[in-house]
Amino acid sequence: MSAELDMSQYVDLFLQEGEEQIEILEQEMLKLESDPSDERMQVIFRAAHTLKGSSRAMGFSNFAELTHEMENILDQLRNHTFDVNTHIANSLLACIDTLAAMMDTIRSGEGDAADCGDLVKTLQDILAGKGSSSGSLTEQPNAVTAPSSGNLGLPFLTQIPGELHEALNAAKESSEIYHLQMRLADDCVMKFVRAFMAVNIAQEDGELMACFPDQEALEEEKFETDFELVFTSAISVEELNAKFGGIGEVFGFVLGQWGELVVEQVTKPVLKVIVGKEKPEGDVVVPSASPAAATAGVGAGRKGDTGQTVRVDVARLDNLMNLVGELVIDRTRIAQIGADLALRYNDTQVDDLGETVSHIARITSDLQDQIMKARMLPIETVFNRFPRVVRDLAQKLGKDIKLDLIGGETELDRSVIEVIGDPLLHILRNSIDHGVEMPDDREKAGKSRQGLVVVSARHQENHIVIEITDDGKGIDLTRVKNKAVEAGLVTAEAAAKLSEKEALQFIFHSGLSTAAEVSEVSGRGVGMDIVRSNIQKLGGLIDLDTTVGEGSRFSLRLPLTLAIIRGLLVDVANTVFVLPLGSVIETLLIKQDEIQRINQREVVVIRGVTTPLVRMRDTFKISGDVGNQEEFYVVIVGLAEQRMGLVVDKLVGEQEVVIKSLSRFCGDVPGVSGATILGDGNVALIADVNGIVSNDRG
Amino acid sequence: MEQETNFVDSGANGEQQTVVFRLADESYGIEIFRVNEIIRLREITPVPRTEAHVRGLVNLRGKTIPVIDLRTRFCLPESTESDSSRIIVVDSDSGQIGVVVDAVTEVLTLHEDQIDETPGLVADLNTQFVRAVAKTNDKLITLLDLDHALAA
Repeated sequence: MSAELDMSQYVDLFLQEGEEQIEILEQEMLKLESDPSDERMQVIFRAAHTLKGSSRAMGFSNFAELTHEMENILDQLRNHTFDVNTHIANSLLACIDTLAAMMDTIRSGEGDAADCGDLVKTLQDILAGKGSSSGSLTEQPNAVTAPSSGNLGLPFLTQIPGELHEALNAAKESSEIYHLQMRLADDCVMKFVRAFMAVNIAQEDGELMACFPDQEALEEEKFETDFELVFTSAISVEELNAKFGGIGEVFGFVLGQWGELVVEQVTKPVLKVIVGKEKPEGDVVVPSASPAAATAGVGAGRKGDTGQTVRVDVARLDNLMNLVGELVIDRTRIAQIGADLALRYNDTQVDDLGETVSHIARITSDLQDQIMKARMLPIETVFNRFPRVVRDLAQKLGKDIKLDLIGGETELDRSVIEVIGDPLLHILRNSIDHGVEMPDDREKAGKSRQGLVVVSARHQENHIVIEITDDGKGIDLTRVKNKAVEAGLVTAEAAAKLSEKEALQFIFHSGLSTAAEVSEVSGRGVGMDIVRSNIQKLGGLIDLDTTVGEGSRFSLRLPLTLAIIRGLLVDVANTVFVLPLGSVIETLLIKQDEIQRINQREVVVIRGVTTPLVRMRDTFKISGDVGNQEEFYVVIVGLAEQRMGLVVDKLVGEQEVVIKSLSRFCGDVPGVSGATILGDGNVALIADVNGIVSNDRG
Repeated sequence: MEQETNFVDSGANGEQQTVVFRLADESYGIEIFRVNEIIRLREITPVPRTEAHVRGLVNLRGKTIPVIDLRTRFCLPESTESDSSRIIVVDSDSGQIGVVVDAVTEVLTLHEDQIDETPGLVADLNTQFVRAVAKTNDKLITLLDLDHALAA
């Protein structure tokens, strides 16, 4: 069927939109527990409603059913029929997880096959539980649950607010009240017109008493396919049926008298027949305001949709970035040629060239900036996962933790965003599991029962600094040392001599966990190791400060992008190497006699810190005359928490370089992470500080 | 590889166009369809810790491509770079690769009957790199098995 084909085009769109909505749902749900404001409730409801609508339109019935049940609960919450409690929040969050899982299966082409029967049951129980406690509520009619329940899904909007219900019942005394439920065809082009026709018929010889969604929404087509009218009319049911049946592009409708819905079926050429009479048990009345809520949701939800944005394929952005990379190389090259020419000739044309070159340079920089910005995402996209994790974890561990997220608007390249999520999450888990104490312990230590974990992000020069701070018990260095000795990483004597910083390094060692018991959350002793290697892969630094009894702070320094980096150009035996500036801490000029030897290794003491030296000539096995040097340039690089001094021949300068991969032909070269092209058109190798350091160790 | 098996009889009428270059006073040939372009020798940035025949990387219009030295590969005497030295850029399984040669002399159209697939006769060269030998009026041309010659 061609409709199937058409649908597939929209799946991507559905997934994109759906993911956004699910994220909103989750974010807001988490905030809801602490701050159950009406606006928040509206936002949540809207998100659930949008999801329901779009999934239904896409034919994902399980998805739609689940969102529908969620919507029912949310509606009750919104009307304050009952309040949010942990059970409800947990159930809803579980639903959100299931929805997210469904999104994944839909993406992989397996549809929304997930079994959500249990969840639906849970939600219905919550609804029912509420019903019995307040005593005034009837069970939901089966028909409301979902289109999959056997018939077309009509009647679909049977939930009328309590006040209106009463008003209608009162009006029923004096005149006949009809209740029309109509669903327009999915491909209906002029929904407003069809709805308008129905409204006109309803008002022909009577009065429209209620309309879901409200008339305004109908006029603005702010509804999907369903609407509902309650009206008084002097016209007979048969006649009304004929009139409503005359409206085109209708999927089906149900007309009945208020209170005892008489189901009428309408067949439209292309469409299925409504199956049988749907006579819900008791009245078709559930005193809640789902349809009205739906109206509000749809109406308000669309307002912000007219933003001036365009969705762009990520691959296209990457491509653009590559092109700009080429341009940056050529810019540098042209600038250099211009400078060379200016030295050689004293000519006005050369001056002109110089001016043009500097203009091009400026434009290129702007272009690069703009494209970089286009690729930027706020780190919020990563942070947004945290509240949920913290909540669940704290609950599981019986801890009371407040999470503060600061600087979520800080932007960085999506290539970085993609990879920092997991390391950050891991550190966060660690802080909660190992850092923050149990409430009772905190009280004993004279702290508030509630632990505080702060995740903050900020820009610093060309980097982003992310800090995860907790006010927990800090890291007990003695224990770390003991563990390290136990694990055979270091001898007891050596451990005793280790400085505080050095001892902390073991935290990042695989196979070492200071948690007394291995917990489900963390403590398998592999985590921090992975964190470190991931950060290193990004050319980032990780630092750790801790004070026993007061807490710990992990700070990460990451480059904003992985495509273009600022590099320090150094000369080693007439070959230029680029050291990523992100790894460079400082450069020093040291004298031969400052170099000491410990264990056959050259070290230098910088401000009291013993720093091992690595001669890049040796690392890269570059021969050549070293000369009898009295002084050496040393570039202090920090790799994650380690410091090391690289001995180079000369410092050349600092420059923005575009990272090119080494050809596959060369394979993996230890100590070299890539290549780049310098202003003079020559190729320079980008040193992989990680590789150099580990090479030196091994 | 397909290209190898097709070497002799590919091309119209059993003819084969070959780029002929010199290495240590001997002539070698590469199938023309493998050749992307021929560029002048330029600054080659050595890549440490790679095999000896890998000279390093060059900048080819913003791309970095590896360059290998066939003299080293074929255990010929060290090259002396001159004005006639060229880099032949060829396609390979691992992307474009540059090959340093002493000089590119000509592009020849070789007929089937000029090609002799008995590479055992070439004494100096490790025979696994040799595909065939072509005879022309005045000289012998060693036709290279590029994929073997370039294999790391």
